Amino acid sequence: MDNSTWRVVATGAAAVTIASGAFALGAAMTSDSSGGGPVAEPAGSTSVGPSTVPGSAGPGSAAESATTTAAGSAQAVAIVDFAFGPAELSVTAGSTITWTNDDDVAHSVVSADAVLASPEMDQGATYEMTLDEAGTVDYYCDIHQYMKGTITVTP
Amino acid sequence: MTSPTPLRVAIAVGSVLGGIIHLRLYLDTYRDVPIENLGRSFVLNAVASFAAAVIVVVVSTRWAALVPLAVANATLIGFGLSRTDRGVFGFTERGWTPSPEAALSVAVEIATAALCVGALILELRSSTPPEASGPTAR
Repeated sequence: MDNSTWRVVATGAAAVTIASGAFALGAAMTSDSSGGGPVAEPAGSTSVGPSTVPGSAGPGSAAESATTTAAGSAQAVAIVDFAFGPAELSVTAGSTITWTNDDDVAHSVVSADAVLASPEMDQGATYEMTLDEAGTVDYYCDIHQYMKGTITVTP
Repeated sequence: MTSPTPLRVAIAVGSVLGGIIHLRLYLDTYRDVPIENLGRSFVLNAVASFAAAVIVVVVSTRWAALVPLAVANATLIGFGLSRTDRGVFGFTERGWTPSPEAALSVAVEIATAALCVGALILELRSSTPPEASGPTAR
C-alpha cells in the first residue's frame, strides 16, 4: 500500500473515531435521566402517588406467571434481574403497592393510561401507589419495555 | 508494525480493560436480560477486545492497530445506539447507567481509539520517504 492510500486510511480512521466518540457521548448526555425528569428518592423514602381509579388498562401481559393473591393494605413488588416480582399481583381496593428497585440499573414503573408514572428509580429507590377502585392495571418499565407486570384490583 | 512498543502495549491495555468491563457487565448485570443477542454481544465484545489486544502486540504489520480501533469504535457506536429509542436488539438504556461502568467504558474506548489513531499516524510518518521530509544529515 502506498503512502497516499495509507494517508486516506489514517484520515478515515481518525474521522470515524471522532464521529463514534461524539455519538456515544452525545447519546449518553441527551438520554441522561438527570436531565430528562425527576429521579426517585433513594431507599428509605417514598414517592407517594395519588389515589387512582384504575379501569381496564391497555394491552400487555405479564412477563412471568407469578400470580399472588393478597388481601391486605400494603403489598410489595421487587424489581430484580430486569423483572417485576411478582409480575402479576392481585390486591383489594385501597391497597398500597410499593415497588423497590433492587437492580443496579435504573428502572421505572409506568402504565399506558398513566395510572402508574414513576420517575426513573435508581438502585434502592421505591415507588408507591394506592389503588382505590377495582380494575386491572398493566404496567411496564419505560426504560426496558419488555419488563411487564399486572395489578388486578378487586372490590 | 513500526509503532513504539509502549504505544502498542498501551493500546493492548485499553483493549483488555474494555473487554473486562464488558465481561463484568454481562456477568453481573446483563445476563439476566431476556434478549439473547444482547448477552452474546457483550461476550463477543470481550472476546474481540482480548483478541485485538494480542494482535496489536504480536502482529508486525502496519494494519495491526486497525483491529483494536475497529473494536473500540464498534463499542462506542453500540453504546450510543443503546441510548436511542431503537436500542441494540431492542434493548435500551439511559444516560450513564450502570454507573460507573458506562462512563468508564466510554472513557476507555475513546482513549484506546485515540491511541490507535496515533499509531496509524506514526505508521504513515515512518513510511514517508526521507526526501519528502527534507534533507537528512549524513
